[in-house]
Amino acid sequence: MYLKVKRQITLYGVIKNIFLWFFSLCCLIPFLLLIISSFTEDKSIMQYGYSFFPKKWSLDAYIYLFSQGGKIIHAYGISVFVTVLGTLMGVSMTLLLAYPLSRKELPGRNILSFLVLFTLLFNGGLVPSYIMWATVFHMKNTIWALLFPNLMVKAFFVIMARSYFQSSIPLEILESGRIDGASEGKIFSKIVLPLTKPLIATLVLFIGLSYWNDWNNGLIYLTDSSLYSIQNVLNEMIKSIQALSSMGGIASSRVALPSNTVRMAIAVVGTLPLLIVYPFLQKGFVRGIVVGGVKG
Amino acid sequence: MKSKTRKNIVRYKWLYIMMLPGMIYLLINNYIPMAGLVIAFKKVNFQTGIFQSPWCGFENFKYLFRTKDAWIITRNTILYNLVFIILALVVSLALAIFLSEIRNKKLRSFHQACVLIPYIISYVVVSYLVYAFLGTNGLVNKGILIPFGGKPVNWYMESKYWPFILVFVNTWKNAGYASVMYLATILGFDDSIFEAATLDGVTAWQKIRYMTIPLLKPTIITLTMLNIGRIFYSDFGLFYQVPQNSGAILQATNVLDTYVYRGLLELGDISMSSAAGLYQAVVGFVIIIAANLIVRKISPDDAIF
Amino acid sequence: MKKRTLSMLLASAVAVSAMSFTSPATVLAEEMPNLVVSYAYAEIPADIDKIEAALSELAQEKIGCTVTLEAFTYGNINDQLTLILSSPSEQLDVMFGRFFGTGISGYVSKGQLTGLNDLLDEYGQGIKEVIGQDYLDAASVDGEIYGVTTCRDLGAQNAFLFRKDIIDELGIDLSTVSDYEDLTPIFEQIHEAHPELYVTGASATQSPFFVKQFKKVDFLADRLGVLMDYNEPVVSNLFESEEFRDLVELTTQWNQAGYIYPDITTDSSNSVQMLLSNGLAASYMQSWKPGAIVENQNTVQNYELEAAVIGHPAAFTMSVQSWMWTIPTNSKYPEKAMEFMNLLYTDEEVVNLLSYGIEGEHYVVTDDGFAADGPESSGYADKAAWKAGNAYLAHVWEGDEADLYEQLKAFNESADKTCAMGFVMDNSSVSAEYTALQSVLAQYETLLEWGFAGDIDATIEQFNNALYEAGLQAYMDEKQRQLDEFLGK
Repeated sequence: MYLKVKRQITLYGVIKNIFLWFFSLCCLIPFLLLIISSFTEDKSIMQYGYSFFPKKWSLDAYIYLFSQGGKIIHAYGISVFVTVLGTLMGVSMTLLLAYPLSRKELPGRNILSFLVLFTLLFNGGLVPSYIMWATVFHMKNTIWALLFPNLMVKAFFVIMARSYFQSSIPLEILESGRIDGASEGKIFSKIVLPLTKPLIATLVLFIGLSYWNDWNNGLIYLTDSSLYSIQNVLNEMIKSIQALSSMGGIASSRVALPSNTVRMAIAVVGTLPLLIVYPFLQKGFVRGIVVGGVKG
Repeated sequence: MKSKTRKNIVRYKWLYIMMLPGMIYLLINNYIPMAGLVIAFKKVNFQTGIFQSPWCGFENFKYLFRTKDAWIITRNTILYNLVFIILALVVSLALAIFLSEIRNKKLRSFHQACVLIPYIISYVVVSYLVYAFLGTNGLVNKGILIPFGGKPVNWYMESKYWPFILVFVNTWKNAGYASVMYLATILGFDDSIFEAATLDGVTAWQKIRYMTIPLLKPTIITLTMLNIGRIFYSDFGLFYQVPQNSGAILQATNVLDTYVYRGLLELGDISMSSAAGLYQAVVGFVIIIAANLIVRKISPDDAIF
Repeated sequence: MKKRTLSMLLASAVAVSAMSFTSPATVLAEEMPNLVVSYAYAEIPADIDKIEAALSELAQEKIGCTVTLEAFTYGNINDQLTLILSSPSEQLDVMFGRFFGTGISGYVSKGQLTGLNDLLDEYGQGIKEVIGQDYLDAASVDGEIYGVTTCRDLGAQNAFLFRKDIIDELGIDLSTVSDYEDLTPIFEQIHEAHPELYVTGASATQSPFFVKQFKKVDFLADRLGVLMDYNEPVVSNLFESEEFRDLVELTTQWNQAGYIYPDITTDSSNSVQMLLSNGLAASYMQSWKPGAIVENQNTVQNYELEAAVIGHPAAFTMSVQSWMWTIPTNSKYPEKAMEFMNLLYTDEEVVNLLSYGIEGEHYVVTDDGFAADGPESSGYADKAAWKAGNAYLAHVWEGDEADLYEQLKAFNESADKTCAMGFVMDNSSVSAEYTALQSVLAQYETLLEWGFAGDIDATIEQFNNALYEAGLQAYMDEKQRQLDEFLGK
C-alpha cells in the first residue's frame, strides 16, 4: 500500500531518531531502576543507595507481597473491575456528549459547550461533593464510590473529543448519510464511529488510566479495606509510614512498616498490567481508514 | 425564525438524547456540589448547618494575599505553567509527528509504550526515583559527578537548580501522555496527500511546516486553551513531593497549591480551602474567556463556545 | 425556559441533600441503638470484623447497644474525619480523633464537637475518677469539656536512642547526659570510632528538631509565640531567643563536623528506625517515656538500644489533646456514646479487646499475667494499649516491665505542668496570619534546626524578618490576649 521510498540518511531523519531514542530512554531508564530496586536487598539500598547493579539481589519484596495473602490479588480484582466498567461507561458517555457538540448546526451548541467547559474550571470542592455522594447517594464503603465520583465524564476529554470530531469527520460524509435517509443514530454508529478509532483508543487510554491510577476516591469514601484498589493499598502504606514517623513515639505500635523495596515492588505490580494491555490498545492507532470511498 | 429553531430541535432530537447521560452526570457530579461554593463566604458552623451559617464576606480569601510571598507564589504558579504549556506543546507535538512517521509497527509500539510509562507512575514513587538520582548518595552524585572529578551537589538545598528539575520532571512525566491526542489526530489525516507530497519532492520539514501543523491547528488551539484555563492550578505531587518539601528551595517551589496545603494542613478549614479553589477557578475562567474571545476573532471555527 | 428547569433541578437537588439529615432509620432503631465508633490503627487489621462483633457483643451485654467499628489508619484518619465531621447527617457517635497542631479549638468553634460536662456528670463517673478533673479541664473551651485524653504518657520529654553495642564498645556513660550540649563529646567519640556511620539521623517528617520539648519552653501548640518559661504566662518569639540561637549553633557545629545524616530533612522514604537497623546511623532522636526503649525496639532490627534522656518531663496542653475520645455533633445517641466511653475507662474486657484482640486467638495471657502473641496474632497485629481509654486496665505486654503502668503514672506525676495547661488559642480571627506564617516556618525552621544554614545570624535575622512581615506580632498579641483571658478566669 505504501510507496517504497529509497532509504536516505537525512538530517531530519537523524534528528528524529536521536530525539525519539533520547526521550524513550529517559522514560525507560528510571522505570528500569524501579524494577531493579524492587529486586534488590533492602539493606543494600539503604547502605549504597539505589543502583542499576545492586550488590545483592533479593526476592524479599515480592515474597512479602504474596505473603499478604489474597490482599494484593483482591485489590487487583477491584482495580480491574472498576477500570473496565468505568472506562466503558466513561468512554461511551464522553463520545455521546462530544459528538452532538461538534455539530455546528445544532441549536444551543454554544451554550451547551459552555456548560461543559464551566465544569472544567469550577467545582464545589471536596466537602460538598463528599456530602452528596456519601449521604444522598449512600456510596460510602461501596464499590460504586470508586466508580462514580469525579472520574467518569471529564470536561477536558469531552472538549478534546469534540475537537477531534470537528476536524476529522468531513461534512460530506454526514451529508451523504443524511441523503441516504439514515437516522442520526445510524449516522453516528455506522459512519462516525468507525472513522474515529484513534479517538476511541485515546479515550480508552485516558479514561482507563484515570481509573487505574486513582486513589483519591478510595481515600475519601472507603474505610473498608476489602474494597481497596491496588493504588489504595500502595497509598495507604506510604501515608502510614509518613504519619507514623511524624507522630514520633506516641503512636508506636508493633507493626513493622514495609520497606523501600516493598513500595517499589507494589509500584511495579501496579504498572505492569498497563504495559500488558497497552499493545492491544495500540491497534486502535491505525492510519488511513477507508470509508465509503470518501477517504483514501 | 422561531418555528425554524423549533423544527431544528425536533430534527436533532436524537442528538440531544445522546447527550443526556453525560449531561446528567455533569449536573450531578459537578453542578449540584457547586451550591457548596457558598462555604467560601461563610463562617461555617456545622451545628447550625452550612446554609444557615453567618456570612463573612471575603474574610476567607484574606490569607491568599496576606503574605509578602503572595506575588512570588503567583509568579511561580503562572511562570511554571506557561513554561509547562509551551514545552509540553513542542515536545509532545514533536513526539507525535515523529511517532506517526515510524512505519515499523513494532518499533512504534515500543516507543509509544516507553513515552507513556512516566505518566503511569504516581508522583510519590516519582519522588522516590528523583531522590534516588539526586540524594546525597544518589546516582548523579555518586555515578556521575564524583567519578568525573566534580564536586557533589546537595541538590535539595540549592534553589537555582529547581526550576530546571521541575520543568524536566513535568515534561518527562506528561509529554508522552499529551502526545497521544496529537498522534491520534495525525493518524486520522488523509494519508494520500502526504504520499503525493513526498512524490513531489516536498521535504520532511516542509511537510510539517505547511501540512501537518496547519491540519493540527484546531487540536493545538483546543488543548492549549484547556491548559490555559488551568494556569492557576498546579500539580501538588510535582511541587510538594518531588522537592521533598525542602525549605531551602521553597522560593523556587512554592506555588499556590502548596501554600494553601501548608497553611491549612493543621487548620483543616474548609471555608478557606474552598476560597482558594474559587480564586483559582475565577482566574482560570477570566483567562479562558479572554482566550476564547481572541480565538473567535482569529479563527472562529476553533472557538470552544 | 431551559435555564429555568436547570435552576429548578439544582434547587431541588440541594433541597434533597439538605433534607436527608433525618434518616428514617431512627424509628426502627428505637429498641437497640447502634453506636458508630471510630478507632485508629497503623494498618487496618485483617480480623477487624471479628473485633467489631466481639465489641458489639460486650456493649450489648453491658450498656444495651450494638457497635459499628469504623477503622481508620494514621494515614487517612485526618482526611476522613474532616469529611465526616463536615457532613453532619453522617452518624458517628464516639470518635477517637487526632488533634495535632491546633487542638480542639477549631473543631469547637465550627460546632463539630459535643460539650461533655453534663454527660460526664451523668454517665461518665468512671472517666472522672480515672482521668481526674485537671486533665479533663485541659481539653475544655470556655469551661466546657470536649474530649477525654487516654491513659498514656502525658508528660513530654526527649531522648536520643543509641546503638547499645557502640555505647558499650566505647565505654560511654549515657546517664551523664542531661542536655543537648552534653551530646557533643559522645557524638565526637562515635564519629571517630565509626566514621562510616552517621552519628544521628531523623526522618524528614519528624521535624522540627525539638519533637515535643525544648528547655522550659511551652510551644503553645504551634511555636508561633511561645512561653519561654512555662511558669510565666508571657508570650514571646522563640526564634529570637538566645536559647534558639544556641541550639542552632550547636546543631550547625554537629552538622559541619559530619555527625548529621545529610538528607535528614529531605529523605521521606526511610524512617529513623530503618536507618539505624540497617547500620547507617548510630542514634536517633525520639520522644521519651517509660517503656520507650522496648517500644522502639519493636521497630528496630539487628541492634539493641540505649537511651540518653534530655531534660525534665513537662506536660502541655497539646500532649493531652493530641489524641482524645470525643463525641462529635454527628452523634445520634450522645448519652449512649458517653456510656460507651465510660466503658473504655472502666471495663477491662473492652480495653483488652481493643488493645490486643480476642483472648486465646490474637493474644494469650501468660502465667505471670503478661499478654503475649496468640496463635492468630497477625490477624490483629496492631497491639498498642495507649489508645483504648484506660490503658492501665490492659495487660502489660510481654517484654515490658511488670510495673510499667506504675512507672507511667509516676512519670506523669513528675511532669512539670505548664501554667497555660488547658489553653488552646482559637486562631480563627488571625487565620490569615497563621497560614502565611506556616510558609515561613516551612522555609527556615528545619533548615536552621538541623544546622544547614551557613551564616547563622544572618539566616535567623531573615527568618524573623519574614515572620514579622507575615504578621507574627499580630498573631502573638492575639495569643497573649486570649491567654490572659484564659488565666484571668
